[in-house]
Amino acid sequence: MSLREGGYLQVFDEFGSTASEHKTYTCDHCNKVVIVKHKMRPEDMGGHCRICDGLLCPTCVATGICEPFEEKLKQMEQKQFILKSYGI
Amino acid sequence: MANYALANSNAGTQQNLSGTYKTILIVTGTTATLRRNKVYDVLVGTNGAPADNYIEWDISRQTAPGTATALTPTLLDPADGAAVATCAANATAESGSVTANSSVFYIGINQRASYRWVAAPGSELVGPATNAAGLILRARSGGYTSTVTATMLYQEQ
Repeated sequence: MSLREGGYLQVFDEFGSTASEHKTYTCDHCNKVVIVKHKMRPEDMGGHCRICDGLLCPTCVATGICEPFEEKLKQMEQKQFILKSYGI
Repeated sequence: MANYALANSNAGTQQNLSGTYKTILIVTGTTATLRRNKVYDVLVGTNGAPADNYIEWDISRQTAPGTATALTPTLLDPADGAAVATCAANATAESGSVTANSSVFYIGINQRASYRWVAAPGSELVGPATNAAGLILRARSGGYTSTVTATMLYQEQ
């Protein structure tokens, strides 16, 4: 597995044999798993963010802005941490 | 960092699929012990009579779980502590709090096939350290109306 590879998907047929295998990567902006199909055109997979150096899904490429998923997670958690700091 | 397994055979009664999403597995944060939950391995399949139908599998974000049977995550290393996340399986009433357009894993498969997705370190599906928020594994099918099997491995950090 290369450093940029985000995982792999194995498909088993009804007899339990591996029917196919695909590499996947996880979008650095939205956390979505993108399946890299055989002989897929690079532009159909998604893209690369030059700001955060992350691999992106097609939806996030289309937005044209850099919103790293880690920042989104922090935003999701912020309200909870504030409430907790007040003992609520 | 401890690893845990969730399987929909471990709690509740497996529900028949229909044309609308049925919740199979849920992992969410808990106020008292907030941690991020990172799903790194997903295995899905069916246990009904073989036939050619499609099944759509989806993992989305949610902010409140539906009505499902509580599931105690199984420790992958018995030396680790018990899981602090709230987990559930085989929902009988769907959550109305699944965040729209938040699918992080979506795949359509033939009923005869089973799938396994494994994340490389750093590419896991991450649920926030927020109470009741987390990830929900769902399935639906227009043709297959029996039960499915699913296992998710996740890490608490």
